[in-house]
Amino acid sequence: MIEVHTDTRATTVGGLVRARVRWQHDKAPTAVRIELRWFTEGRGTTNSATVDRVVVDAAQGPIPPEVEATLTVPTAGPLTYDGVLVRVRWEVRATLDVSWARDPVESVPLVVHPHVVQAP
Amino acid sequence: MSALPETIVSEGDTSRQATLPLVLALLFAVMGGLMVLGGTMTDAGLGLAIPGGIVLLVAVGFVWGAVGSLRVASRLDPGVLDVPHRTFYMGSEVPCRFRRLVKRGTPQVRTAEVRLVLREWVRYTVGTDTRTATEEVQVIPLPATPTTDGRQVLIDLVLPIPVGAPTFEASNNTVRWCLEVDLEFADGFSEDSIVPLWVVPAVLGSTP
Repeated sequence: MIEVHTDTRATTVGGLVRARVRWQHDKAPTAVRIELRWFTEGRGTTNSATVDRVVVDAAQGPIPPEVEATLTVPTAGPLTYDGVLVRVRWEVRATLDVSWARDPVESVPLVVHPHVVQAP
Repeated sequence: MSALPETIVSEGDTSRQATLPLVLALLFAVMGGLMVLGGTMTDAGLGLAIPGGIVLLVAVGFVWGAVGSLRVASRLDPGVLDVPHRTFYMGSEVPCRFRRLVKRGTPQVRTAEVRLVLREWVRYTVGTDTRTATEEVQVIPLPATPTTDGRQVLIDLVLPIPVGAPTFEASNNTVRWCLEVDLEFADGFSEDSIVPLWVVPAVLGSTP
């Protein structure tokens, strides 16, 4: 079992998202990955990219049952977008790396808006 | 008109567009010629000569396309857009000047159609085929009064960049803004320019 909570469901480019991940598993995971990523939906073949990532590795010591991460949306975006052929979506995704077992994955959607620049 | 230190060149330099059709025309001509020759000199006869003739017709089509591109290139330079900066904020109004150098013929323009276009493009696969699709999501016609300095066509514009869709480019999905300028000259010659615009994911707000 893995749960993801974020401090916000909407942010702007250049903004921060704080995520908290709780996990429970029969086997001790080798790592917990918390990623901020965008992906496309629509008619085109999917494009996706992970723009920020926090990895808590068991090699550094036992992984606590609750892990926190602060992730940054790049200023270059992209923005959440709803087009005709193209849609761009954002999510915070957490993955539990478990040896010799299926990796549990959970994600929370995020909306990314443009930031406002003041005219000179 | 304020200072416009940057220049964006339109896509599709027409002289370069002539090279590929000419190369293809040469390839098809050689292939078609060999097929026709082979058909007349061997037992294959019409079974080879007829497809060879079709290939030769394709070569003529490529030559026709290349001649059209060379005709445009010999008369006009690619269009350019003078802008204050090369990236644009959503919600901003950008003063700019479109220019197109006329190398031959009259620079007098009969009609000019200018529009700001938001276009989506995608690439996808169906079975083993790779296909593409394009959609014009938004078209904003802009008022344009073309003038000339004797050598160039000049159009002063203000680009109203809408809020909502900045430029997005990925390998299989793109969302792009461009300025499209269709010119029809006094002697009936017509040609269009497509100038790509890079819109950043930021909105220009008014000063409080």
